[in-house]
Amino acid sequence: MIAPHGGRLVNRALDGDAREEAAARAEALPTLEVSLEVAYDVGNLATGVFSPLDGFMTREALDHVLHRRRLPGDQAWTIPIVLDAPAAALRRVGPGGALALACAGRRFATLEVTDVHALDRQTFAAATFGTTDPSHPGVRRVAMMHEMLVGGRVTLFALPPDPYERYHLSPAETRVLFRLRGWRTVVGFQTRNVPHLGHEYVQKTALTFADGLFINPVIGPKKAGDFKDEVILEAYQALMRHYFLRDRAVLGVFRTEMRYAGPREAVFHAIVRKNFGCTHFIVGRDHAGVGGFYGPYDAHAIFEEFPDLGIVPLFFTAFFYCTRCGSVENEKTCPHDAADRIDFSGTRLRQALEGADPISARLVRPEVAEAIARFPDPLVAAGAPGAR
Amino acid sequence: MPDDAIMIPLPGALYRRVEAAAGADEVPAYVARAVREALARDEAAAAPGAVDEAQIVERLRRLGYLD
Ligand SMILES: [Zn+2]
Repeated sequence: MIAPHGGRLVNRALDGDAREEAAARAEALPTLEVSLEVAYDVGNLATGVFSPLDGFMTREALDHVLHRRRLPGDQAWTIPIVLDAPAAALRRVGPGGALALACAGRRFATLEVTDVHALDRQTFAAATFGTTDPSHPGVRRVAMMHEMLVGGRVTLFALPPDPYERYHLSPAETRVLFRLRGWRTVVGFQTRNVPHLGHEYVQKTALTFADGLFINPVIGPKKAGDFKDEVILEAYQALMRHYFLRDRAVLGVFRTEMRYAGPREAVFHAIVRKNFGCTHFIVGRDHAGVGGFYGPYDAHAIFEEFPDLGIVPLFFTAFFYCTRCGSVENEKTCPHDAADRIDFSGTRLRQALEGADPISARLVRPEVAEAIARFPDPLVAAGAPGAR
Repeated sequence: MPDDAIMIPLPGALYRRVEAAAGADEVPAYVARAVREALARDEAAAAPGAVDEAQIVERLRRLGYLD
């Protein structure tokens, strides 16, 4: 089994009596109310999804990550994992102190405060997203963050209720599952979309050379126009039921928000899948990109900086349906002209789902289209709660 | 570079130190072996307490991930 990032799976989630005691102790602490996304990232920290991180980044760790793309311990790390808070909420809190974290009024974790530092929005956004353009959803998100950041180790005693609990596996659980299935090589697949034939082609191409496939959609706030979480999960259930061997593919969710940080997020996505026990990770065209902010293959090139990552990236170029080949192909496999090729564009996908056009209809499995059609509003609406 | 040179993933600091010493981006097999053994020892020393595997298997069964 592949070692977790940093060598050891973090476990800061309490059980049994220790959980009760921590919950009781938290009552006496100053309480910071956090969003559901932050709560799930506390869960990720506490259950080893973000190993070797066991808490929110201190100023030192954040500086390392922003400027060197590594943690102070020198492990590769590319995305800030920070807790923002209004200065007023931290008046009674300093280094050496502790905070209770609450979500929707319910305490669920504690944080041992290592430091409190001011958020430098410009530096944060420029380093993470490569831009300070406010039309970038990540930059907009940073602009809305509170002015202070709190660093320190977390202890989890109660995860917030989760509508997708049934798909929520911790790295300790996926590692046991992969081992019991006898998988020595496992390919991780990141997605924030419903599956079309192009995704299936990439997944099956990778699966041909590995023992198992871990389909791991990001569940959490997305931008308007993206598919809703429940639609993605239903669509994948349909695909896996009809087009995958049951003992070769596993569906589990990664609860976090999309950052749209392109190349940096691709490396982060790979590290997280390494913690889940994947040995390989699929990196597509414009992975975790948005608009035209990143070059189509920037997310491939960045991996050259991390020869020590431990998980092997599998790079895929753009794919399309070629009417002359009669199959899904990519830039490396199909010699035909653009006129013969049908791209998996958003417009094509919508036509496919509406069943309006017979060529488009071939781009999505009928069972998947049916699963999506059961939802009257499958897309995240502009201005919906949590929409970026 | 000797014939038995192989490339293995190493933690960043170690990798760069070895790289600087060797003046190449490949690491000789004997260095790789020594580093691998040292890492395995560190990892064993840092291993966490046993996870409750029975409890994990029970949940995986309940959710339908295992028969
Ligand atoms: Zn062709």
